[in-house]
Amino acid sequence: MKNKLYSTGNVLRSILLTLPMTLISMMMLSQGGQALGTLEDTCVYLAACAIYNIAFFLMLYKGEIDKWRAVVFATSAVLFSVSFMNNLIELRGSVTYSDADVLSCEIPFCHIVTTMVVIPAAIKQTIIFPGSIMTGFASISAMFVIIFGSSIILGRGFCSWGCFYGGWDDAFSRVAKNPIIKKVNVAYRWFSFAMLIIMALWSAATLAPEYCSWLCPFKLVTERDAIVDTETLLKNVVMVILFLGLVVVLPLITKKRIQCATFCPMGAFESLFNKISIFHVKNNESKCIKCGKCQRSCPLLAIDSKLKPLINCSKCGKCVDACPTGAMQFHIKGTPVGTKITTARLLFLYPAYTLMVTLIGGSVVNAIKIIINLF
Amino acid sequence: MKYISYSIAATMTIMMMLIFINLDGWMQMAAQLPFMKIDPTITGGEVVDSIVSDNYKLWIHEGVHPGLFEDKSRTITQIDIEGDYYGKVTVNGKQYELNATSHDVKVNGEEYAASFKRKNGWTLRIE
Ligand code: SF4
Ligand code: SF4
Ligand code: SF4
Repeated sequence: MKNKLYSTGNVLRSILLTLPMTLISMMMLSQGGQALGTLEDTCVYLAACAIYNIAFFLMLYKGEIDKWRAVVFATSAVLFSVSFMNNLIELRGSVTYSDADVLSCEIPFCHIVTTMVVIPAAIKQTIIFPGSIMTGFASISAMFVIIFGSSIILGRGFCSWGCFYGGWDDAFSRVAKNPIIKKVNVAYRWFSFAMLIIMALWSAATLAPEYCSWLCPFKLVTERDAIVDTETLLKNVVMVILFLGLVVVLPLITKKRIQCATFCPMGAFESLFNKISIFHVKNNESKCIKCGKCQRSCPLLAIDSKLKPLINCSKCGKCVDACPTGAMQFHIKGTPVGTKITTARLLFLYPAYTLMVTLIGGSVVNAIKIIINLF
Repeated sequence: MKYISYSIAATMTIMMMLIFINLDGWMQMAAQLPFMKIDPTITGGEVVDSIVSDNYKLWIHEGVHPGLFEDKSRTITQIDIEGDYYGKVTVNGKQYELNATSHDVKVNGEEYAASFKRKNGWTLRIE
């Protein structure tokens, strides 16, 4: 099925518009030539380039952004976990971390930690995370540059195009055909903002990243505490319950990204960047027939009863695809509403997809190699 | 205005690529920011003294004040120990008798709670 409003309807035109992305993905995935060592490396690299570019081509040809974005986003998230966990096993022999790893400051920095380090960074001028400033994978300075840079460009677009966790709840929110719980109150989105404030204050008070210690469900698919006592056992139990509840079961029965919409403090933090980013999703009210399809489809509870996208929009494009009249559209701030909507859409897609390919693509290449070597 | 907006939007792909292409350069710049250092309550702070012999090595860190506003009434001193050590160490003017073997970590004869196993020894936190 094509979305007639946006489909290029023309294979050649779609290929031509995909070409810039092909060049970008080939360049970024080659990692300065490092990804092209052996024949096997080159084949895997070409396969990854092909997967990303076919999805991009389909976004343009079919005129549906969200569906193809989600396929790549979810696959990338799973493959990222495979690659990340394998890296840890190679480095430290386990996907668990111990006191020794914390004392040696060898924990990779994850973007969600940003929300917990801001207050001590401002007041005490230190980072309260046992990671490395410059060395190792996911060093603090590298993650800061990537998070703040990409968030200034895309706003909360990071949460649908860059975050290597978001693909998990995005995937589970799509499994069921129809939701069991049909309506989720959009006011629940405020809970993630409350989480942001609570986590920032709690972590500042204890000088420890408390969300990471106690509440992050994604530790299940990356790294977690080694169970050595009652506290670490409890932390692991909480992690499993939160993963099953927020990332699996609730998204399955609501068709919403419940973890990202209501719980993750980084989602709320990212939302603030929507004020800075030049891209946003807008309802062209002159074309809106108030059918409500956009609101029902939004997985992040980011469309209110006035049918306007809110500050927590992650620019996934689902409402844009669902809108039957083209009222809901990607828009560039400072330009007239309702004109050049395919241009605005393309100008957003290129940097957003560049982020996805570059930030998660390297892990995808790595994970494909790991899987091939299993056989 | 609209042309400026379209132009800015068009440069965003290049900006995104530049983040990654020049990542090492940006990282060096980010690392210079005043807050870019790991909190001493995690690292133990600067090493100010070391005692090294054939059987053991001790690294004594400068005392750190815990808390967001650095509560000066509390000082935590970290000692990293490699090998077995029995003897006296002076930390912040106070003398401690240390009996640190891999299974028995004591300060002043008391079992010390805040001891952590490291890859190649132990870490003590004395408060
Ligand atoms: S809300 Fe959190 S977990 Fe979800 S995509 Fe955003 S940063 Fe990632
Ligand atoms: S408002 Fe639209 S683009 Fe934004 S998160 Fe919701 S569905 Fe996605
Ligand atoms: S889907 Fe489109 S037409 Fe329907 S309410 Fe939303 S913006 Fe209006």
